[in-house]
Amino acid sequence: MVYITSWDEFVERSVQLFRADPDSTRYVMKYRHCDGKLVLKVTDNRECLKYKTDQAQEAKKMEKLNNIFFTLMARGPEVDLSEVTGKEQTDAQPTKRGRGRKQ
Amino acid sequence: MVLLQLDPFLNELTSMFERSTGTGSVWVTLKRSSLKSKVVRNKMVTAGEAIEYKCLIRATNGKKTISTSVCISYILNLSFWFISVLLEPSCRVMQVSSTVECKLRLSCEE
Repeated sequence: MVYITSWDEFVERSVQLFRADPDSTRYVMKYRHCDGKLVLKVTDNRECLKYKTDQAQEAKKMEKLNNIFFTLMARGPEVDLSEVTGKEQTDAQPTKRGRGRKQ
Repeated sequence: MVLLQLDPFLNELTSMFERSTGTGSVWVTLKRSSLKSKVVRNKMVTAGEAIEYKCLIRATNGKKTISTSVCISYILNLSFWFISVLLEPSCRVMQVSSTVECKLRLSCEE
């Protein structure tokens, strides 16, 4: 079992692992509220990728990964993930309201 | 293992998280499944029929296991549930990074 330190690497390798064998791959979330720790695991029973965190900001990143896996598992491994990631990026970016100069 | 509809599953999972706040862990597993045996799947493949896949979700606290299957139309509901039940309470418990704490401290001092 390998703990991956980079979130982006974990996401990329997890998606690759799923696409290589969608029938065997599963995504597991383990949450301990008393410790405030979250562990994510993606495995196809041959290779295992894990990511652990106790940071609140990274728990929010999990939302994106959840949506990716929900979409992959329901629509199939060939689905275009830019629809999922693109929509969330537009939702996540708040409209910038700068201090305009009053003229 | 109990196979539930989505709403009862979410209710049961919510109570599972609430019961495990003091001690214990909750595991949630997502897997792609057709909910059909290998024999039936192979027959469908040879017959040229399309196999409908769903997202199988299992949850356990180590003592009790519940499960449900979700098709594409319910995925948005599930995503909202994860945000409200899991992510928001967990964010209150989990640590805020030191850079964010510094910014908050500086803004308070100003």
